[in-house]
Amino acid sequence: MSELTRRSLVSMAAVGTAALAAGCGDDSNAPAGGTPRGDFDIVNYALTLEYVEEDFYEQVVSAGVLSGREAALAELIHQNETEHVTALQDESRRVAPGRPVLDRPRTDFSEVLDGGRGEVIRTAARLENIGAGAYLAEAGQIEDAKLLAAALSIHSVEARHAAVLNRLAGAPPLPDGAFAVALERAQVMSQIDRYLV
Amino acid sequence: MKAGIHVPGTTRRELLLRGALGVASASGAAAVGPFVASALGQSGRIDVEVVQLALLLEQLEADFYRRGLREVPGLSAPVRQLAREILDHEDQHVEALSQLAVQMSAEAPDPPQFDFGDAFRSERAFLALAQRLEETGVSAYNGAAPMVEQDDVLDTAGQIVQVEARHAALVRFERGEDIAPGAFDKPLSMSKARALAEPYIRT
Repeated sequence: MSELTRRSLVSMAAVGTAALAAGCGDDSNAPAGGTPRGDFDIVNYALTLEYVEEDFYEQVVSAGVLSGREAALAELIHQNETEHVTALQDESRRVAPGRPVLDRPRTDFSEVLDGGRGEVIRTAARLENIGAGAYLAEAGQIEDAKLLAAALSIHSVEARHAAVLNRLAGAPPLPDGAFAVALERAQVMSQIDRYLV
Repeated sequence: MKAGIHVPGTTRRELLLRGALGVASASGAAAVGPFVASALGQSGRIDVEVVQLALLLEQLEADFYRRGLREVPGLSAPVRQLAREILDHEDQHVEALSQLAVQMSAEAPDPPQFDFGDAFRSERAFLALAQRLEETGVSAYNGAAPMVEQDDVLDTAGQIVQVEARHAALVRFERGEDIAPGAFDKPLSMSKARALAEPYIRT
């Protein structure tokens, strides 16, 4: 009976909308933080966040700032983020065949790395909390059922990272209490911008 | 509810209605009669099922932590603190989901009697089952959410699943396990989620 779900209806609507929108020249190079929604736009936004996270952990791991259990955790999270990037690149090709997959932005975390273990853990926690809040805000806008399922399966993994990193940072693991709070794009991008070159 | 047909907006209900009607006009109403009927139906039956299953899982968790805090011998301070915080969240989830059910004119059943076997014999056993229950919660919400029709139900499910995932990770961390079983949390169908809860329900 899955044909009767809201998602398949919304997906059918999306096909119709896409047909209407074709040739309207919407800008595939629009910044990920822009306002127009649509699955391709949401994929690009999520991909931006995942690229930033992946870069961050790659630099943390190769700089050897962490040790013991924290180093192992950074490696595990790095691996998760790499898989998220790959999955979202695939989703991009699937929901918008023929449109370019978003390029990786250039990032700079040198100040964070210079700050040592404490600054690295705090930044990791901040990035993960932002990521979880961002996915939560986007989920309701997604039209494609498969993309929604992918976003949900990533959202809860970001939340896992966030909780444990908060704890390691000495912050409350569940800062919003029993109900997580969604983070809108403007808030997200204003916190991510500082790491983009 | 039918205002969605006339007033363009951004709620999923409206999208749903416009989508269904758009398909109807494009391919002939007869072909999509059931879809339109479903879209126009009284508050979705699926949503009620999702909320009631979520309520059961939250009642299960709340009872588990409440009794664990009383019964597990020699709980360490960090585990006790974690269990207390989680219990507080699960109680709030039960409250919110009960209210949601009532708003949907559906029943918010009282919790059944639960039986957790020998999970309270030690901290180790308690944490092992805590992890299993939290993971079931995460997968159940992730599996059910894409089928939800109403905005407020989807919003609540999203807000809660993030919290369940945080619980799951913290329990795993406490046990010295990887905090995530993989890069993607696997969704569970509602029937599988219910089947995972069944063994703890006393009949």
